[in-house]
Amino acid sequence: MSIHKLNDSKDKKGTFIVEIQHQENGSWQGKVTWAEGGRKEVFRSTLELIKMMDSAVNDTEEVGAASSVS
Amino acid sequence: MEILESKEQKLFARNLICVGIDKCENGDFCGRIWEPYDDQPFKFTGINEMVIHMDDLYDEWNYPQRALNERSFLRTHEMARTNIIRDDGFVEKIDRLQKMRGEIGTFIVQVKFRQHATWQGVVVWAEENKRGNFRSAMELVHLIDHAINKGLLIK
Repeated sequence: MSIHKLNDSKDKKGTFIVEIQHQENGSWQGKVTWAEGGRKEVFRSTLELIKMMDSAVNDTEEVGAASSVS
Repeated sequence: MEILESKEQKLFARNLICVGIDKCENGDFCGRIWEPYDDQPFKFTGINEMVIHMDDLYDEWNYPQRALNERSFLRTHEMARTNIIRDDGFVEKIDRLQKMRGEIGTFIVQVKFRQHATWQGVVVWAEENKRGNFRSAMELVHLIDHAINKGLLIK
């Protein structure tokens, strides 16, 4: 599936592009791009990745216009 | 990650958490988390919810202290800290927690450090009395998954 098709999917809660660059300390390190928020962050473990994705999906309402921030 | 080994196993720490797995649904685990300082369990409907709740508890207790600051796409909410973990009388609380059981599996987890933005510690599979070490939250999830689904780490 192409990136464009992914972005067009209905009822989406959040779209993330994950790039795993290293596997150190029994975990993953890399970069994650939040498509709707237009932001990229570096993560240092899977725990951090999960927490970042979770907060992007679930805490967006609280921050209001966060999704328009680029 | 180490193979779970069999011996008389009992963990004892102020930050002990008991994870009871109740069912496996849609390829994910549902269950309950007991912590020493709350009589009521926290119910989770996915392993991601479990690790997020546990990490929030460690932040609340500030124990084990996180070695790296939290990263997020959004501004992180500051977790209110409590000193409840430093109170006396936790021995009974830990004993009570050790007796809790999930329907398909129970794991007593002691996270000793929070380095490299993840967890390091030891887990005891209560029903089988077996212990395993983990170097990350992902390895803990692997240990739980293997124990429940395959029994691969049983000796």
